[in-house]
Amino acid sequence: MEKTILIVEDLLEEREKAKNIILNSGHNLLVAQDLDSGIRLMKAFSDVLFGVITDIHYQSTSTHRIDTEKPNGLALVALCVEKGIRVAVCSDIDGHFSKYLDIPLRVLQSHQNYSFGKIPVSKGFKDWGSMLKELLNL
Amino acid sequence: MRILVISPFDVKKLFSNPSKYNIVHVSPKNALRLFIKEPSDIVLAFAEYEGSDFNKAREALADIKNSAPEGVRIFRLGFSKEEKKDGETYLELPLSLLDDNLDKIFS
Repeated sequence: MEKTILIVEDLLEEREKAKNIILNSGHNLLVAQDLDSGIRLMKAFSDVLFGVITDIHYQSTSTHRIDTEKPNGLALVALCVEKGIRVAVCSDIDGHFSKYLDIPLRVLQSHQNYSFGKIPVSKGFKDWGSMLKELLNL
Repeated sequence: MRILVISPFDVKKLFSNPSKYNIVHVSPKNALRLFIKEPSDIVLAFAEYEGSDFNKAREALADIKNSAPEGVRIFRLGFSKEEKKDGETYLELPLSLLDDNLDKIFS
């Protein structure tokens, strides 16, 4: 049965890869490029949203004055957890620089509102196919 | 060919009656929801008017551009080509009948 998946990714090339994989899998797709759009779509489609796959580093908005170097995706992961929405992280951050993610993700996936037990993470390169598969299995 | 027309007002008079196209009219608020469930070949978005739906129309257009599968043709309808943005396909209004203009675009 088709599911509605939201992806949040700032790079056009990666968005296209993710779109092809998710649409070819027969699912409905929502795409956002920044934190604010991601939150807006997450709220607007909360009644049908199956899950979210998000990058980590992307823009917030001009009003938030947060640049692309900041891990805005972590805020989206936290919101998904708070609202009990399945979430996976798809990032190309390498092993050394991704260390800071381990603790917040471990704490978030044990949050009482998050009943899926795991927040799948792709590091090193953006493996949208694997993250989709893992999200669908949550 | 299915054409999704995003507009806060009735757009029937912009098309021949009957039209050779399958025209589906939707408000800006419901546009993305309809589009992801039933993708269209062409999206025409009227996002250049004053009113409370202005931002919703622009948002809907941006969201659909982000979420659209490859091959979907997206046009913004407006009154002045000076409003056209880079990378955007723009159809200038007023038009006699949109069908005729689409025929020219597809020819």
